[in-house]
Amino acid sequence: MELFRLAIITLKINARDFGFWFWMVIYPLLLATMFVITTQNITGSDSLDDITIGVEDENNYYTILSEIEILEVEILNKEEARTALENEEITAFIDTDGDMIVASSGLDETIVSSIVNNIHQVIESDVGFQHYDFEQSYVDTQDYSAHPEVVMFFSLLGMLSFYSLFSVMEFLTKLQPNLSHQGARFYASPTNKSQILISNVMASVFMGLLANGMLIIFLMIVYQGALFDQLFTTLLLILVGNITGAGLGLILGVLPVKNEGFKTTIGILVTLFFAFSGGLAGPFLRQAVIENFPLLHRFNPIGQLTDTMYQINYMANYDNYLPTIILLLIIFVISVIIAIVALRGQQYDSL
Amino acid sequence: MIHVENVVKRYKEVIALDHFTFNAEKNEIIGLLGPNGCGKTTAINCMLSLLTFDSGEIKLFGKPVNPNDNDIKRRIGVVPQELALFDKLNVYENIDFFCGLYVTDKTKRKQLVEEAIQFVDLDKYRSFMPKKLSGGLKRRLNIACGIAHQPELIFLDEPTVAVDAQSRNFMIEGIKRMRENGATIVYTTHYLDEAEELCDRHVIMDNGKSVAQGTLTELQNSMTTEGSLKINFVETEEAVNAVLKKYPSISRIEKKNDNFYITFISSDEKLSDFLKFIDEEGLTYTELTSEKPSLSDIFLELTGKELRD
Repeated sequence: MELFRLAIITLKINARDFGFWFWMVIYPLLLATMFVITTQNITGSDSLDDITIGVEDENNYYTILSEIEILEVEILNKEEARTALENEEITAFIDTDGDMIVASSGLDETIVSSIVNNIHQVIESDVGFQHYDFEQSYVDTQDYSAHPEVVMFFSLLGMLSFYSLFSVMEFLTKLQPNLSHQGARFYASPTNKSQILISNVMASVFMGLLANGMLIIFLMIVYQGALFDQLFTTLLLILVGNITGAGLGLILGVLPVKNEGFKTTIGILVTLFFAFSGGLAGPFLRQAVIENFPLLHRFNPIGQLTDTMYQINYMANYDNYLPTIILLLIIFVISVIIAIVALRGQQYDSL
Repeated sequence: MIHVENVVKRYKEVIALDHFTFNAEKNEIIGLLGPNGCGKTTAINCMLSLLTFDSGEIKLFGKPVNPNDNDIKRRIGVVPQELALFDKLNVYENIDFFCGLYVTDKTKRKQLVEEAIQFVDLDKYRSFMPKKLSGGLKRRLNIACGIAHQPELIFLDEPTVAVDAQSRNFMIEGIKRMRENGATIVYTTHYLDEAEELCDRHVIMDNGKSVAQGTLTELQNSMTTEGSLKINFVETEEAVNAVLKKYPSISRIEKKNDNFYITFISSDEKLSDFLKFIDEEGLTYTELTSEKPSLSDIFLELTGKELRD
């Protein structure tokens, strides 16, 4: 019963704190809005205008390429193609051998390259072109590069899940006589410190879920629910993320530093680092981290949370679901152990 | 009620408590006095088990202090020197929260919180956030948070610092009422007139030691100076000083307003000898009063007049 009383007081303290509303609600919603606006330009109709390409006269690819809706094909010789590429009148030029020449790299060039590669594969597989339907998609899922904003949104949700750490950190700092004036009162009282801590973790996780819930509702409204095919299991992941965030808050809270601003800065930097490398900065940085620092990605809690949310909602793939939950819970347990060891010395050498 | 014996507390090379010893009986107010940095707060923190100490013994309610002894903690109230409140909780909620650390029964707690609010006269402000309160009201709230559970032993660490005379007087009357209700109080302050009015006994500390302790009368009697004379001379200050300097057993001369306060080295000094001397020197006085040393005189005598850090 006492647990709930203390938890409700923590909720009151947080609910009356502008900092909470800004960092947990306004800031993520602003970020999400910004992502919605900026990523619309990537996938919007403007970028899917017809792409003009050149092919060499009597090129075998001409027939196939002409059938593809988004391509506008011109017949050019190599000289004309060079000039057209330099003047950016065409995106790419495909010679008689199927080799592609481009003047720069970009989304349009990537699309053409992908189509030409497909044609190469069809030729290699010895399937007649007449049997190949370029309009038909045999792939059931969509890839990251096609939906960069999705990774960013899941990463934002992952980062927000960890924001429960701030409330826990702030309260734990207040609990210690060497770090706050209230601490003397707490330590001189007969109340069980772990009970106070548990109540604070409970309240912080609840507030975190509330903030995540608001962001999810916002994204569901914007994308008409398309992002969350598996809402219940996504919420469960977010709950575990919040618990892990609270655990990290315990570690920050026991740091023997009086300045809460310093601890908050560390919290922001750590979560931003994990979130950016996990996908908040877009799929390209995330891919670079996976390729160059695979271990960092493997143990990046926000990165794993992001991947798993993406996988379950977009690929119906639960392979990483349990491992991610286990990883997050391990981080939480380690955090609790560190905090308890640090707090066990209930008397201080100096105050 | 409190038994502190030979407690030593070191911070590396600095000795914060140097064989500090004192006792307090039930239902008395003990003034823990001393200049800044003399070890008052360290002593309180050791008694509260917030600080470890190197050697010595501290017993509260007849039991050695132990950070895990909740039975002892339940009987203690703490009003720290600094305001220890939650900015986001109003007056009622702050008192209720800290009272709740001791009292879990909701009905009883509600009654205690109401009593505490009445005790510090914050009824009008019960829904105010601390930042909306004046300095004096915040101090009163700070006290209410520490005493709402009606403890038997209360540590008040400079509770009246930076408050106006009215609030101070109100708090002093409140602390007297706490004693009347049966509480034992350890009180630290720099306002010696306040301690003189409030405390039954005084412990004067300096450099981590107890340099004197007892009732005001006991302290006055233990001083080398029996007291001081307050004399109003007709002559100029320079002329009076020139004459008084010749008298060998004067330890201190102070001029306040129109009066000279003269303190003697020995308590055996005869007033008749001194009056004969000033008569022979040709000084004329209009008024003469013999005064016992105040707590402030005793304090300065024991701890010196040089400025402290």
